[in-house]
Amino acid sequence: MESLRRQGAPARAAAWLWLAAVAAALLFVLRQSSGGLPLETNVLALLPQTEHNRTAERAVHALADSLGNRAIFLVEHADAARARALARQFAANLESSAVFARVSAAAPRIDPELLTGFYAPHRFSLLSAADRAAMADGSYDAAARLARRMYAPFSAGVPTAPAGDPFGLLQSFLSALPLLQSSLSVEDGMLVAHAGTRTQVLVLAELQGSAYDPPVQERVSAAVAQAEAALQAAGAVLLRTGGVFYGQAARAGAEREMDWIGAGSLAGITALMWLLFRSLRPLLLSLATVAAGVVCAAAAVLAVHERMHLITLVFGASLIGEAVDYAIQYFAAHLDAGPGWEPRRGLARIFRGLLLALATSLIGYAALAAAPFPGISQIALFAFAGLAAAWLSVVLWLPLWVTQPTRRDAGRALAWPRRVLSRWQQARPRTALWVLAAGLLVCLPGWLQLFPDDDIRLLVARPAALVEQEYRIRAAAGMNAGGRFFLIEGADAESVLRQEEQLAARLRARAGAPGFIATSDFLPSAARQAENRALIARALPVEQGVALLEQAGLRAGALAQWRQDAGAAPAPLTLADWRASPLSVPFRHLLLDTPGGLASIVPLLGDAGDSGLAALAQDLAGVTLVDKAASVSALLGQYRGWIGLWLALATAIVYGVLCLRYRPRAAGAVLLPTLAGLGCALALYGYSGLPLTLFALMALLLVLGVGVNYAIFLVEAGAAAPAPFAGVLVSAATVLLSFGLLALSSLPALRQFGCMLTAGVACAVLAAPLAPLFGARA
Amino acid sequence: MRKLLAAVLLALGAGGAAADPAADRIAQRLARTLADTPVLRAEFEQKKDMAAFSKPLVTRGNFVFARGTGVLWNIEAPLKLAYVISDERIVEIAADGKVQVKSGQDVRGLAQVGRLFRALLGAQSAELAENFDAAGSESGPAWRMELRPKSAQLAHYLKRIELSGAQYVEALRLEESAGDVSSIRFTRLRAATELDAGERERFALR
Repeated sequence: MESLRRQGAPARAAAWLWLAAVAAALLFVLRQSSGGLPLETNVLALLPQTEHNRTAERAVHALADSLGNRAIFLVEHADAARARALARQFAANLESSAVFARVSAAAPRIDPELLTGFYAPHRFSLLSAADRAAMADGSYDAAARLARRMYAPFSAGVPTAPAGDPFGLLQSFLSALPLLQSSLSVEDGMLVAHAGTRTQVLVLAELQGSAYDPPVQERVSAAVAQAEAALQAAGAVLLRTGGVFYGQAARAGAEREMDWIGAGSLAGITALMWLLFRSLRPLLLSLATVAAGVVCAAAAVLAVHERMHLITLVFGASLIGEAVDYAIQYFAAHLDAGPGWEPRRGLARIFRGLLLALATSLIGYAALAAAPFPGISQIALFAFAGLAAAWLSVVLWLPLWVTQPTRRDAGRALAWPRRVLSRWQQARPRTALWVLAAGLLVCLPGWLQLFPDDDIRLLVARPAALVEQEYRIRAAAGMNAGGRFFLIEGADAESVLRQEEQLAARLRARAGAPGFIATSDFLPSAARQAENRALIARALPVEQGVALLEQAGLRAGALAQWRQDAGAAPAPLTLADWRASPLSVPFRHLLLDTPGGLASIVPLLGDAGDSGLAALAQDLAGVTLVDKAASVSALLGQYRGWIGLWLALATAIVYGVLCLRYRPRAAGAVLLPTLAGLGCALALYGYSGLPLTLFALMALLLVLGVGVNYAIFLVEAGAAAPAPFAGVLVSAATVLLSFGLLALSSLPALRQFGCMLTAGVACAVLAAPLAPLFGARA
Repeated sequence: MRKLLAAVLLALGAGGAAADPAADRIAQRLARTLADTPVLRAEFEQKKDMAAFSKPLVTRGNFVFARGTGVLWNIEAPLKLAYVISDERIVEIAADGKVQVKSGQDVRGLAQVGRLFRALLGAQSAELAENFDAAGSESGPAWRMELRPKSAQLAHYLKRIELSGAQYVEALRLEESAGDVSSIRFTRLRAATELDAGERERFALR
C-alpha cells in the first residue's frame, strides 16, 4: 500500500477512470448484442463501391435484393412422376413450417387471359424475333402458317383465339416471352430439368425476412433439414442454393472458428505464461488487459458500424495473441527486477519501449483503417482500438495491481532464453553478415516465383458442398446469378428500349452468349412497334389475309373484325402501360428511375464466361456490362498494389520513428530482423506456390509492426538481458499461436493472412537478437 | 385439341389417384393390350367444329403408335403435314419435306404436349389422372370413358373429353368451354410387331 500512496492520486484516478471507461464500453457492447452479436453475412456489405457509375451500383443492389430473399431447390429422383410428387410434398412441408413467405413447386402462374388481355389489342404491332426475321427476309408464308394453325393436332405455348390471331403471330410473340426467367421446361405445371436419366423439379421459396438475418437463417435451415429428411427417406436428392444458405454456413463457420481460435489462443497464452511466471497473478492480470482490449475493440466497431463482419469476428479472436504482448513485457520486467521491484520505476524502465512498440503497430493498421473498403477498415479499426486499449490497461492498471516483487527465481525461469541469447551473442557481426547474405541468395529464387491472386472468392467462405449444389442448379436452370448484367441508361424510356433492342439482337446473334431477360422483349420500343406494324402490312397485306381467311371459311363477322383490327392504328404500348400491368411485377426491379432518366438492367442467365461480352456493347451509347465479381477482383488488385507501396512507405516511417530514439545506424539494426522476417516470409510464399493476395500483404504490414517490437524490447533491455528476451519469445509464441490458428480458417482471406503472418513473425523473432548484435543501443 | 393441350400446359392442378373403378378397369385393360402391341397403326379422321368458322375443318391421315418411342401423325388431306412426337422433341415435316425440330428447350412444355397426346391415344390413366376426373362404363368389349378437368383453370378452356373404343381407343371427342368441338375417329386399327424402315427413319429425325 506504501507504493500505492507514493504513486500518487492522479495515476490512481486515471486507472479508475479507465476502468469505468472499459466498463461503459462493455455495457455498450452488451446492449448492442442483446439478441446475439449483430453480424453481417452479406458479402456485398463487405465490399467497397466498385462501380464509378452510381446507377450501376444501385442496379447491383437491386438485383441482389430481388435474388437474395429467394431459396432455390431442385428435387431429384430417378423416376419422373415420383420426382414431381416428391417436389410437391417437399414444397408442402416447407410451406407448413411457416418459415417462408411463399413456397411453390408450380411453374409461375401466368394467367393467359392476363397476357392476351394486355397484348391482344396491340397484336398488329408485336412480332417474335423469329417471325420478324422471316417477314424481313421474305420467307414468311402466311398460307402455310394458317394451315398449320388450323390442322396441326396441337400447338404448344400460350393459347390465343383462332379468330383474332389466325396466323399465330400473337401466339408466337407470347410464347417467346422470357416469362419463366430460366431454361427449364414445364411439365405438369412444374419446372423440370433432366440430368441424364434423372429428373429434377424446381421448388422456389421466398423468405420471410432478410437472408442475412441470423434468426431467419436458423429457422430456414431447420425447416429445410426436416423436409430434406423426408426426401432422403424416399430416395430423392435435394439440391439447394440461395444467399440464406451461404450466409448461414458462413456465420456458423465464423462463430465456430472464433470459438476455437479464441480458446486456442487463451489456452496457449495460459500455458506459456505459466511456464515463464509460474503464478496465477500475471496470467489473470494479462488476460484482464486483453479482455479490456477486445471489449473496447468491439465497442469501437459497433459504434461506427451497424453490424460486425464475420471476417472481423474471426480476425478479432486472433488479435488476443498480439494484445497480450504489452502485459507480457511488463511481467518480464517484473521477473527481471526480482526482489527489488518497485512499480513506478519498473514502468518507467520499459515505458519508452512499450510506447514505441504501440506506435509501430498502430502505423501498420492506421492506413488500413482509412481504406474505403468496409471489410478491411473494420478489421483495422478493431485492431487499432483493441491494441490501444490493451496498452492503456497495461500502463494504467498494472503498476497499481503489481506491487509485490516476484517470488519466482529469475535465474531458473530464464535459463533457456539465456542460453539462446548467449548463442547469438557469441556470434560475430561478420558471421551474421555472411548468414544474411546467404539467406538473401536462398530467398531470391522464391521472390521471383511470387504471383498475385485477386479473386473475389477470397472474401467468402463457400462450403464446397453448397458450391457444388449451386453449380448443378445453375447448370439445370440457367438462372440469373445476379452478378453480371448489362446496364442501359437513357434520358427516356424510348431511348433505353431502343438501345436494349440493339443489344438483345447482338446477344441473340452471338453463338454461345448467355441467355438474358430484357424488358424490351415485353415492351418493344415505340419505334420497334411501328417497324413491326410496317413489316406485317408488307408480309401479310390486309386484303391477302382476308382472302386467305375467307377461303379457310372464317365467318363474316370474325372476318370483318379481323380486317378492322388489321387496318386500325392503336396507340403503342407504353412504359406506363407496362408498369401498370400485373404482368410486370416479377420484372419491376429491372427498371430503375434515375436522375438522368431511366435505366434498364438486362441480367445474364448462367455463368458462361464470355470475355467478349463487353465489346458487344462498346459502340452502344449508354450501355455497359457490369460484372461485380470482376470489378471487385480488379479493385482487390488495385489495393494490393497500394498496400505494397504503403508497406514500403510504412517501413520508412517506422525507420523515422526509430530514428527519434536511436542513432540512424542503430535504428537500421533495430529494423533489420523485421526486414529479414518480411523477406523470408515472401520467399516461403514463392517457394510454396501460395498466391500473393491483398490479405497476405496486409499480414506483412503486421509483421512490420510486431517484428520491430521484439527488436525494440531487446535493445531497450540491454544486450544481455534474458528476461525481456524470454518475454519476446512468449509474445512471439502467443502471436504465432493465434495467427497460426487463423491459417486454418475457412475464409481464404484470413487463411492467407494467417499463413503470411506466421511465417513473417517466426522469422522476425528468430532474427530479433541481430538488432543488439549490430550495435543498436538504447 | 389445340386449346386443350395448351391449357393443360398452363394448368397447375395437382394430381391424385384417379377415377372410378370402371375407368380404372378400362385403363388397365388398354394398358395390357398395348403392352402386347409394340406398334399400332390406324387411319384417322379429325373434325373440328369451330364457332368462328362456317364449315367444320376436316383432316384425314394415318398414325403410328410405337410403344416406348412415340407417335407419328401423318396428315394426308387437305394438306400434307407430318409430326413425329416423342418425349424430348416434336418434329414437323412439311409437304415440301422441310423438317423443323422443336425440342423442349425451344418451346416450353413441348414434352408435356407429347406426353399428353400419347396418353390420350393410349388412354394411359396415370398421366390423365393428374389433370382429370375419369368416369367409365363398359358393355361387353366396348367401353366409354369421360374425362373432366380437375382444375378450374383447365375447366376454363375445356369442358370434357370423351374416349371410346373396344380393344383400342377408337374415338376421341373434345368439347371446349367456348363451344368448339373436335372429334377424332380411328379406323383400320391394326397391331404390328415392328416399325418399317420409313417410320424408323422419321423417328430418328433430330
